[in-house]
Amino acid sequence: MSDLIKYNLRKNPFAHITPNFSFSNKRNMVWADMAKLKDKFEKIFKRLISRGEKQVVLNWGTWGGGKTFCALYYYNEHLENENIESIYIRLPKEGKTIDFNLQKEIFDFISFNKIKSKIQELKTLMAEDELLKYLTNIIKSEEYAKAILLIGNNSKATDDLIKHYMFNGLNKSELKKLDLARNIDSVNERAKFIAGIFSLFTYKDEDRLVLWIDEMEDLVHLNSKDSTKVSMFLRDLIDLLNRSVTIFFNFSLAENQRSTLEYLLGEALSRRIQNYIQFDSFDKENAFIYISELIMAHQIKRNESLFPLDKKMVNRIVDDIPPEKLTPGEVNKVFSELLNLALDEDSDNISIDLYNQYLSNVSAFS
Amino acid sequence: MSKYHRYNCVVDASSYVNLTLFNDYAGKTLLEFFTEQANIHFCRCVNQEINRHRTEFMPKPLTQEKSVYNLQYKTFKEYELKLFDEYDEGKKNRGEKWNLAVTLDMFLSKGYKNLVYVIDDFNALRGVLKTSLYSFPLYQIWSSFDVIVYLLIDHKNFTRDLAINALKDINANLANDDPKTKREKTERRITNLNNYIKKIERVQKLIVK
Repeated sequence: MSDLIKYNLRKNPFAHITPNFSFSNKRNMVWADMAKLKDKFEKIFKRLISRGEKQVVLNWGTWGGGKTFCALYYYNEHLENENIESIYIRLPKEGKTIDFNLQKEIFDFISFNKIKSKIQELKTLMAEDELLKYLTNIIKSEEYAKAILLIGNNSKATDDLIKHYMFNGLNKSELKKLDLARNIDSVNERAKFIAGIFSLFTYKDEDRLVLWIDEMEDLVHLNSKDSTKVSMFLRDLIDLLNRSVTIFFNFSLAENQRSTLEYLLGEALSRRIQNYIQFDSFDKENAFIYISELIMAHQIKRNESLFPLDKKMVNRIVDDIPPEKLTPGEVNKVFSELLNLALDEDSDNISIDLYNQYLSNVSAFS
Repeated sequence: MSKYHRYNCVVDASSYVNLTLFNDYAGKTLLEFFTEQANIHFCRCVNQEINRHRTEFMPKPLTQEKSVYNLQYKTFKEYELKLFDEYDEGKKNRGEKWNLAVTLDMFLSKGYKNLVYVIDDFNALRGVLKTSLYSFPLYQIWSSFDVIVYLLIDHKNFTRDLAINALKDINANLANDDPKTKREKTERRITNLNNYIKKIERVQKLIVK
């Protein structure tokens, strides 16, 4: 048990300043306040899970508004569901090889061994020819369907070659060894290959796949040629996948910049987005509820108090945060720091004096 | 267009580089479109700076050399002393300072009135140029983004799609402008893109291509 026991807390309720997949586990995640937003996501997942509807959703809004947290939350929610494969990546930053890096990020997240196991599992359900037909039918390329099925082989030498094929490309003699005619070169070919991999995870009627692509705002750092590659890749991927898949794009953007979205995503990709979900800043009342619910969800002995804070103190801090910065991210940052300061100072509670000390130490709310 | 009716644009090295990043705007660079509509000038030290940052699609050095303007009204030293209260023997911001001298000299010696000072170095605008550049209401001050909007208005073959691609390209290549964090850099670029997209949409309402 941590030092926080003196504050009747299991852990720091505000610790998710920058959500990180490496430390997440289901019991850590608390969705506080933002009930309407949660309702929207619940509906999207209901449509996906119950009807297998293909959906493309764009989550947009201010920095620190909770988009990454949302991805992490639902990733955790579905972690133990064997029928849902969730993939989370951030938009790669390297422009010149952006399509290759997107492919690589997706492979890395799923992992070679998981793809191999999935193919081997599917081979127990049907003949390899049938699986080849299934993939070919979706991605419209027997060549890449054949390449994907090679991942499910039982030879170390083939494993090495196919990994090279996926990440670096092979020379002619290596391609010949695998009986393949060509590498994965163009944006369209990459989309086909990834769509084939995804389709392995949506073969059964009850199978579902969720792809989160975070930090899509980084498209602004790409020149027109490279950002077109991203749009083409995602457009082709969306078109090739015909069911059981939901793709979320997270895009940080100020409210008055909404019109920039279409220009950055490109017209073709924008047209394929069915649902835009806005992550707003809090109003003061929502911020208070968010803070209260987080504290209460982390209490050792459940009660209605906001200890080590109190109602007056919470309202004071919320009042001090400029309205445009009143986001879950900023609230987490401020309250997490305050809690750490209280522990450092061995303080009995978070008093106005401690808060003033915090303000004097940091460039608050900057 | 007769060269006497064109804008006379005094271009900084930062803008010259941004206008020659790519040549795939209908097979041309932005600079090629720009030179079809405007006269391009710069001081000799900007020419040297451009040569130090040559890109694949810049005009050949001899062609570029033709844009170098020779002062007639005063010397660079005299201009620098009067405009900046000092003559910096070092080379800090010399290109920006001397290009201002070129712009003023065109008015003072030749009476040109259709003048434009083009610069993408926003640090220099807020720093060394912040007083002197804004003291003479004789010329317009543009960035490469303004050049794009201008081309959309004035060049019959420069379309909206070319303008949007050009905005994205220059925005992605923009000097960092000292952002403290990655988020700040991203926000700044989105804001910049958003501002100029709004201008393009406004222009499009009036001039449909």
